[in-house]
Amino acid sequence: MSLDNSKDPAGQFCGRTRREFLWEAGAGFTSLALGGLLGQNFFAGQSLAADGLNSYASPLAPNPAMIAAKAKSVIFLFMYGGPSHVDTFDYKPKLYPLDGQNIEVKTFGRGGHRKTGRVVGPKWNFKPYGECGKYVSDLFPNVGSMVDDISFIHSMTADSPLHGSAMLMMNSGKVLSGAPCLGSWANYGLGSLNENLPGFVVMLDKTGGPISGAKNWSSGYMPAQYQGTVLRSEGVPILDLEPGQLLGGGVQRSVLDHLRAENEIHAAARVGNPDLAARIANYELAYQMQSSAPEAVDIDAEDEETKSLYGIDRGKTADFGRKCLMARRLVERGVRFIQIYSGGNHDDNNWDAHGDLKFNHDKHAGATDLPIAGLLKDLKRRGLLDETLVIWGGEFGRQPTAEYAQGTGRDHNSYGFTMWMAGGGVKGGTSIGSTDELGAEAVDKPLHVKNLHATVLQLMGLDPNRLSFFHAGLEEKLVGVEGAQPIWDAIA
Amino acid sequence: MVNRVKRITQPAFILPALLLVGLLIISSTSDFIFGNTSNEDPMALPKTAPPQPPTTSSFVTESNLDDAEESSRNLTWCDVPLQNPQLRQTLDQFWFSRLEEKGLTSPEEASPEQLLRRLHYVVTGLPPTPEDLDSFLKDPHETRWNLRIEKLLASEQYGVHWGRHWLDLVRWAETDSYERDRLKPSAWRYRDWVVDAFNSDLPYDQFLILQLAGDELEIESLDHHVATGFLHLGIRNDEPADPKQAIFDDLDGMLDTTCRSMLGISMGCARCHDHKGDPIPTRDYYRMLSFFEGLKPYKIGGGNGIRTTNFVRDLPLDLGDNKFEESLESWKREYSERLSEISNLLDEVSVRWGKETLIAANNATFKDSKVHLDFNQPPSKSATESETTPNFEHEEFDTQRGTGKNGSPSLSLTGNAYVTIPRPVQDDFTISFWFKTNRLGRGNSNDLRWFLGSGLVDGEIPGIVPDFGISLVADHVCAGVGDPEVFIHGPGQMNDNQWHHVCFTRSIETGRFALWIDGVERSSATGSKKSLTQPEKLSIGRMLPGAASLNGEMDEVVFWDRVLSSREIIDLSIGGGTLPQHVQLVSERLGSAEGQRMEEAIQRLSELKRPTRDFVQVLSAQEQQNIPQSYIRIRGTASAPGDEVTPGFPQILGGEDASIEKPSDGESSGRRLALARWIANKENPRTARVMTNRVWQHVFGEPIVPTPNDFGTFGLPPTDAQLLDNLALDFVESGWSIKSLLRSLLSSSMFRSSGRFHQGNDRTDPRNRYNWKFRGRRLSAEEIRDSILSFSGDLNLKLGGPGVYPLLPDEVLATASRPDSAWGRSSKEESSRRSIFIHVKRSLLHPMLQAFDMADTDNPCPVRFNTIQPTQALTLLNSDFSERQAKSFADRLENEHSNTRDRIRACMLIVSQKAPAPQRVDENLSFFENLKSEHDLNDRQALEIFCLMALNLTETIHID
Repeated sequence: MSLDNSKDPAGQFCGRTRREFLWEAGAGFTSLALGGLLGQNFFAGQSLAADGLNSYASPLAPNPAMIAAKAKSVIFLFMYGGPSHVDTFDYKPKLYPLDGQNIEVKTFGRGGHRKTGRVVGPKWNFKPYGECGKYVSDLFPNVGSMVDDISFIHSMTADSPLHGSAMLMMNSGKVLSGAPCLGSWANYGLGSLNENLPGFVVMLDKTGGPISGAKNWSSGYMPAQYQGTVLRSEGVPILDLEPGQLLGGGVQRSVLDHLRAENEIHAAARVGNPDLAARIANYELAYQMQSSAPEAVDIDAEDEETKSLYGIDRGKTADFGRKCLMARRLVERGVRFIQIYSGGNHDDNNWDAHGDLKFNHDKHAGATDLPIAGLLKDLKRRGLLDETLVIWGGEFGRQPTAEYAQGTGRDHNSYGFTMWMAGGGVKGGTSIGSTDELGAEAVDKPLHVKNLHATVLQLMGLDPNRLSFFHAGLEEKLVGVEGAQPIWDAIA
Repeated sequence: MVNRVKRITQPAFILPALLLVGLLIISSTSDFIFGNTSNEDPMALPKTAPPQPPTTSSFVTESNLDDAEESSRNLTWCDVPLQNPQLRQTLDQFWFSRLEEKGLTSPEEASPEQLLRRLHYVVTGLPPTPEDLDSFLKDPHETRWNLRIEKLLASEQYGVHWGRHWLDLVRWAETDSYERDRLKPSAWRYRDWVVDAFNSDLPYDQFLILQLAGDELEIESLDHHVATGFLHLGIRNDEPADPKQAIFDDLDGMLDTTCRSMLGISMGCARCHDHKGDPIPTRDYYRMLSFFEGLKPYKIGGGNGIRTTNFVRDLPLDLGDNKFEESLESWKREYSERLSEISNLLDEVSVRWGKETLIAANNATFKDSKVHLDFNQPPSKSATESETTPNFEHEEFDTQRGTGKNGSPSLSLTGNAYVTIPRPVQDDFTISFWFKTNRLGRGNSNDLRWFLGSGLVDGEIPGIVPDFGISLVADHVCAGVGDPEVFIHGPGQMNDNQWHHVCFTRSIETGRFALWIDGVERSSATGSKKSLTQPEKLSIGRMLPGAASLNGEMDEVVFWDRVLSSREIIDLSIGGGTLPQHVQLVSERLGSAEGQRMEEAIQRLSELKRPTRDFVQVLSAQEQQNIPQSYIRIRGTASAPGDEVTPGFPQILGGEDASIEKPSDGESSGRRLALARWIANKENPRTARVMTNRVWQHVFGEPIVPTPNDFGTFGLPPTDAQLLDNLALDFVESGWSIKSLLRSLLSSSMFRSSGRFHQGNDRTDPRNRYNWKFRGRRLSAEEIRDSILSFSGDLNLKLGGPGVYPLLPDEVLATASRPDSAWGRSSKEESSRRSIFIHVKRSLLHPMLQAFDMADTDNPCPVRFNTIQPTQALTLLNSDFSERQAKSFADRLENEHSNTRDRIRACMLIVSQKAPAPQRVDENLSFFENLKSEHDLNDRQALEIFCLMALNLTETIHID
């Protein structure tokens, strides 16, 4: 949407707009799949709030991009459970000699608020990488080789150090369940570049989903087409995509042809109802998806060198490597938002290292380091990295001190943790903000999850403080009613 | 078409309310705030308003409208009182006159088939069966339409469908969301209550009052409590970073849902800040919130626990009916009469032969006990000798003496008081004691493992060890034996402040252990067959590991190292005198005839069963005894209290303080009842309008006020406020009868109008604002699934009960963090129930319902989205559900019809509910034949495919 014909909504009640009432009333969505018939302009017309002063405009009306977009797609590598920043990308040399000592440090995690704790020195060594000389731990030597393309944000903070609400916050910007996720917002704002594929795709760990399951890719109060579609890395990629027993072996096409003929007779007798035409088109869209989705995730079409780059030829990295490679293929085909989970289920099946830090992080970093680096390299050499934003991080980080009297496990930490971004208009080789010398708390330029979300929207060409959805008397935004600034230092 | 005039029309003069609304419509500006226009208007009502019923409410009434204006309160159309206009019109009168005014051609009537289909779906959410269609078409009488309306309104499937509309508004779900997404205990009772309320046409004002404050009403009934489940349906973070904030989030959910569903007000903004010119300032929000602040919080402190005892309780099924109390009284009378037959005989022995004659018999059970604590001596902090079994020392801590069952002293336990003794038994044993309490034990009735409760006689050692114990979990006596851990429990309601006898027996040989309550064996199980050697000491009145104390009285704690006979246990519970030894004594001393009488009297006594009462678990409102002071919370932050506030109503609706009366049972504050009565007041300008609009919405497909949860300044103006007001008045005057409102809408000509396109009308009114055509619509998610089940004949129309678990695809289960335990399993028959009865788990929703835009579970959903997306085609074509139902459908067609043509025809008729033209049958038959030949299929295979195709027709899921 062009901003020059819209007035600041501040003078209105919560900036409510007339058009969005119609969305609330369900009217805005009846003809969505018509986009399939009408082409890309339809989706451009999906973007964001009207100004509240103009009369009702069809959601089909084209709208130019909000601001200049740098990223077309996002790949969010979600390290579920919360990776330890001081053992991965946030180098704390002073922490090593403190190992085993009881010190005063304010922490808040699963074990509640504490004032002192036993330091667990980082369990891996760090060394400098790239031209920028960024220190990265031995957990991520391959990612280390890409640091000149990465912007590290060391001063991340979140509202909750507890998985349930922290997951929701990282995915939807709110600790309360019921809000749309980042991927939903991106698709609501921009629409899909390829209507034959879902615009928001989620790939889960083979051990299971994260806690709260589908809440992590829910479209909340937005309509269902903005919710994430779970894509499987093996077998049929999407639920009910393939014909079952009855429609297999070419029967489906005969049935679709007959359905079309029947539905056209039905629609012809009901002039003036565009839904009916859209429904007919919808079956063809589904049909196209049946061929385009398997093609999109068919990594066998890739050469051996590429597969090897992602570690698909090695047992430990094969699974995550497949997903990363699938993500690249999806990006090439116009999927807006792809989220890949490293870790699922509970306990050590994800990054939640409460017991044995060494075991846990060796396992998960070992499974992901090579594939992530492969993804970055592959995107780069294909010229895709510039328009693809890659995000790495979990719902929070971990504390510098031990959770229990014995062992190396660390409790959750939302007072300060690290996430990184690469490509898609991000300034590589940079490190933004910092935690204190223990890694306990963000001290320099503390940033909130909302700032991260604002950055993602900004890079995608959406104004985070204008992209809104009217719901229940509020002009809801991903970044909250009060708004948030993008992390400008991270933007090239 | 005949217009039915419902009321005698009188010379028209326009009331301010209607005038204002009229002006709003005419003005067509986006500013629809009520201005100061009415006084100047020559058509304004003279100040001779019809007499108002006396009221203490502060709603703006006609008489104080001027004052309201003077205080420069801006009244939106929906905050102006509903006033009885002199001119009352029926729906059709309104409709025709609007069409006429706008120069729109009035539509013809839809075909009988279209009408029947429309009517069935609107009223019940189900398609008419071929029989329904046949009987309708064959009925030549004019009355057939209204008869069918009555028949459908009387069907219990009506409540299922309309109950679901209400569930959309209250964010119906049965789990809490978040990490553990816990089950809300017995939430389904609320769903059933809603369905029943619609079916019984519970007056809408009552419907609202019960949900907000059913527990606070003078008249007690289980339903009244079940209805308050409304308050507990929201998302509840089990492990919030800020527990206090989470409690306020929960309260906010209650207030927000109440305001949006019942009043059409979104209060969301006002929680955090005032906007200039806001109709709802922050103060209003917190005044309204304080109506709910008496409720016990859903959780206390950090950690990941939910305090279910604060909102779940067991209530008698016959609550409010005093028949139980009567039967208990008559049992007591009868019992003492029969007991006196026995005691008279023993008295006679005693009188004739001396008191000491009875001692041996009376001590028969006790004489070989290992420990017998009668608590007749004063307590001592140090070790004391037990008077009857001096070998065992017991220690008392902070105990006192109370009055026992027979007047002798008992063990009185308050605070953390308890008693310990060395464990006297381990192999075969019996433990017997009496207790009474008016307090719940620790834990809740969802999990009746003994070690979770408050100790009665306990030997709990953490871990898998050979221990045992008896405790009170919530209101159940529970017991268990360790290694392996096996648990049993007795009935609930043991906290009724009556003395209860508890007996626990255990046999080492069989491993069998049993729990007897008041002389009846209630539960038994088989556990360890080893010696239970673990605890060195037993704790009485407290759990052995500490804390979890019983507060109440205990008496006659006795241990034996043998399993008592049932006769002995019954004798203990009766209080003695009924042992075989007593019978023998009577025979010997008074003669065998008397002995025979004695035996018969004992038999009669044992046959007299104490009346029992069924209790059910209910999600219900419970208030704290001392309600905390309410404050404005600055910027919505729970830990930042600002100014104090007291319960009161929003300024736009009068702004008065609430007048609150504490209910006489003392269990709650009366705050919610005050709110409920204010909302469900016919003077409240919003309540009737909001509901009338919703009923209209679900009948005509689009509401009169397009934003049904946001009336007034927050939302869009009504398309016809005068019409809405007329209907709302009818609604109130009918005694808030939703069925009556429906009757008037469904019997109108407008409802029966065709949905056909009209070029001229379309040019004049492209958005169909004046209803020149009926709005066709896609079926809702539930309607689609229920219809498919109905076509195949698999639909199970049973109502009520806990949610069912139809099969979910593995792909969907894999999205849960614990895929193996994420979902239950129901039989095929149960899985074929109507969709409203599918268990609603917030983190794992039914994929087909989701694809077709089921209501959001976390926010009130006023209008379902109507999307068209490929997932819908994929699920209808390829899901296991569709395939199974297509096959079932084919079974049905094969059973009912003998040749292919008839089957094809029947299939088309069943899904569209109209007889297909022969030519269409031919076309489909040729598709069928081509299918067979092209894909080398047999008749059966082709029929299944044909059925699947039929489920996917637009016509099948679209009504005209």
